[in-house]
Amino acid sequence: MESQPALPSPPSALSRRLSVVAARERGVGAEQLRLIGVDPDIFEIFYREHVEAVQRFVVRRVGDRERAADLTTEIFLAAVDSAHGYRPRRGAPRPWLFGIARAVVANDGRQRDRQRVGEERLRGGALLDEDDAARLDERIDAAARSRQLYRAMDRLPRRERTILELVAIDELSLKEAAAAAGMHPATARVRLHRARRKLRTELETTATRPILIKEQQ
Amino acid sequence: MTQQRKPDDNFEERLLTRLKAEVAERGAAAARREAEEASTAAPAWRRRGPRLALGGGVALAAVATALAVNAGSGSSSRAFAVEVQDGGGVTIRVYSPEDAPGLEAALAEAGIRSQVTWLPAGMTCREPRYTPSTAKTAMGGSIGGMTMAGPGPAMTIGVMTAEQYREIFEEYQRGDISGDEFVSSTGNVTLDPTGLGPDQSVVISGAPGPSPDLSVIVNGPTGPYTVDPEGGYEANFGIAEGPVEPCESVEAPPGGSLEEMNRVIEEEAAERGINATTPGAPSGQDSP
Repeated sequence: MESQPALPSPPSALSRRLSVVAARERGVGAEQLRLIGVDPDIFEIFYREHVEAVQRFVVRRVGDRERAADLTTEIFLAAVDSAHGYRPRRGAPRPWLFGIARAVVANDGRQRDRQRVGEERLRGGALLDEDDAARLDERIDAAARSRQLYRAMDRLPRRERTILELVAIDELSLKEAAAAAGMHPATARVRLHRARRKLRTELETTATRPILIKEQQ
Repeated sequence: MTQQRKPDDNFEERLLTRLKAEVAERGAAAARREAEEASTAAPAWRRRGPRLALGGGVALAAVATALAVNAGSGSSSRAFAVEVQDGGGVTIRVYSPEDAPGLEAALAEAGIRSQVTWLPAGMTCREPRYTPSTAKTAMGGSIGGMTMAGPGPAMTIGVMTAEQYREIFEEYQRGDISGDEFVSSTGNVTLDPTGLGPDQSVVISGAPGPSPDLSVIVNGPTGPYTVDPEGGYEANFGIAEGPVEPCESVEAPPGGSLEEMNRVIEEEAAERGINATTPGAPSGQDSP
């Protein structure tokens, strides 16, 4: 029993309900996040809060709609999987979810087999119909510029690139991005500064300035 | 929460339906596991061994199921246990709604004035009988009132200073204690004795339960209340400013439909701006 991951101790059904009330009012906060893996109502609130941001996150990196749908699904499943281990000091729910999204997208293709051998994994791509496909394609097109920028960042060191991605492309605040990337905020600030400087030089030498790299404190 | 409403049938809604089913399955599995553990294992707080002591310094005999243990200063009670934390704070675990004077004494020893009333099943106190107020908690927030319900110990009350709370929180952050231990060290209400004003006191009332309406909330209209073979209870916790009138026992209002009960709960929660503490999740900020 000791070796099991720490699950939330059984909250009474009433306190669960009160958590749902609180979540509806204020969104799923750090207090309720550990429940998203076991309480469908709280999960729903969490999902509605973040599904659009997660999809945007995915289509900025992936140009294929089936894969985007799969990855969106994988990200929420991974969030459900790891919710019981959530600790507030790892960041607020949003950066926590972006941290998961980063890991899932980075491990795309590798982790599916490893994580749940023999178990039928829910596939997002199978849930798409024609309307969805068109809608998702629009989003993917809209994100094309981001993916260009993304490629322009290829030459940056990994950690600098990560922090710039999260701030410039995903529009997280520096603090949120640092939490999502698992960096100290001060370190993240230095890396962000370096990354912007390098990228600016890079973009200037290619004679076009297609994208404004937002200055943000 | 600014998510715009979407048409009913699209990828996002279909995915939500599937994911909710997945979560519901996990929730059911977790509940089964918890029920099994509760019936076979010692409660989490006993695992801490040396950290555990009783209010009166009485040695704790090994109790197989430990749903009720002796506690209190000399007086013997099967109703609640007082666990002294390393930093000097205490956690009081109420296993059954009995021995109101004993619980008042235990709280007084920890520095909290209180009025505790336990009633027969199906009864409640006629309200209002005091001026509701809020008090600072050890976690740095404040609490007005809350209802705790379920199998014993549905209500756990921590009494410790913010500093003592922070020490436990830091132990948890360092990984010295598990999340479960952290939760069980702090109670689902953790009061700071210095956070109560001179005219403030804690008011607790409750009854073995669940009361008819509560069973509707817990189980839906039909399900049995099976989590705890000993039965559970419901306890109301409040902070009073000024005098508290004695509890006049009246019949608990009859239960309505599930929707109606939900509506009432949500209204109450909205009115109180409720601090719905989740026992499973450490609340409070990164560092208090």
